[in-house]
Amino acid sequence: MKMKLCKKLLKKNNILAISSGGGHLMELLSSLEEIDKSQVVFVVNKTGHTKETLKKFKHYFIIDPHISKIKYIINFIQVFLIFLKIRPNYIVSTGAGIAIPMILLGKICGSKIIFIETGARIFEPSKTGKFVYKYADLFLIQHETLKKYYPKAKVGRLI
Amino acid sequence: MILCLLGTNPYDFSRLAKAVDELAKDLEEDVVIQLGNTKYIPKYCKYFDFASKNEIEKLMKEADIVITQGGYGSMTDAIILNKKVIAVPRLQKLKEAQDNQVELVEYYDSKGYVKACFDVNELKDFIKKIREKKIVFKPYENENIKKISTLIKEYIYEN
Repeated sequence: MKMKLCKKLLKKNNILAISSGGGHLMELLSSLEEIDKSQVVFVVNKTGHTKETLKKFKHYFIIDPHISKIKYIINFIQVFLIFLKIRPNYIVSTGAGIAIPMILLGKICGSKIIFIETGARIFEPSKTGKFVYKYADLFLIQHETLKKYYPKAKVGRLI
Repeated sequence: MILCLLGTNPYDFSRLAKAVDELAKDLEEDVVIQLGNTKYIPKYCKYFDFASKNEIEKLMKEADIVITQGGYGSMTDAIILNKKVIAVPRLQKLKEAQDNQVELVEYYDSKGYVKACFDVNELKDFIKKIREKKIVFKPYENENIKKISTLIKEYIYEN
């Protein structure tokens, strides 16, 4: 019941795209090439020139928890507030760990989870990918070699 | 122009920055290093910390050889532009990265898209061989699978 109620509160057209800065963000931007950007809100941590890269798009910055437990709590509070504001029907992510709290919150509230395993992994799955696989509604990989770890995944190319 | 990319990785990669800087001392052409979070300050070449995706792309188009860390984003960007790419993986044992870059660099090297370089002392020799066309690269071609952005578009708009 709770789930259903939550689901009604989601905004059908809203897509939340979350990743860490740098390479993961580049993969996320390529993944969303064919999506109308007026529907998308990006959530990333600030590294290098993310601000410049995202200046044309709606975006929020959050902290990267990396391996700190305290930072995970702060990350979760930021994520919670952003989620309430956007109420996305879809959450799209390329990882890494920074995206996990948002993905879990989204899953509980009924958002559809789309995860793209980073192309940097060819023979071994990433920690984030392995964790998110159970919750993802659409799981995409870039190398056929990972199929044995992700049997339900679809294979696509980024470029 | 030779462009060296160290990406947005939070770890220091002075080993490569220093090697490229020392190369620049003996070369007559321009060498530009994007340092990211690397602390080393080059003496013989132009350098900057970060730039937006567009600015990096512009520089890459001007460069004929791109020397890059083994990050997925940096390498694929250079590969799509059909640059002559020398890829130097950051090594975990030297505390240059959290993740393994070696397998990805070896993978792209095996496909002929990049020249893998594990010992920075070999850079000079590699550049010479590239100029003499003794090291050649395979032009990038799309594999015959759907793009990830298409799979996501179909999932979001056609479900």
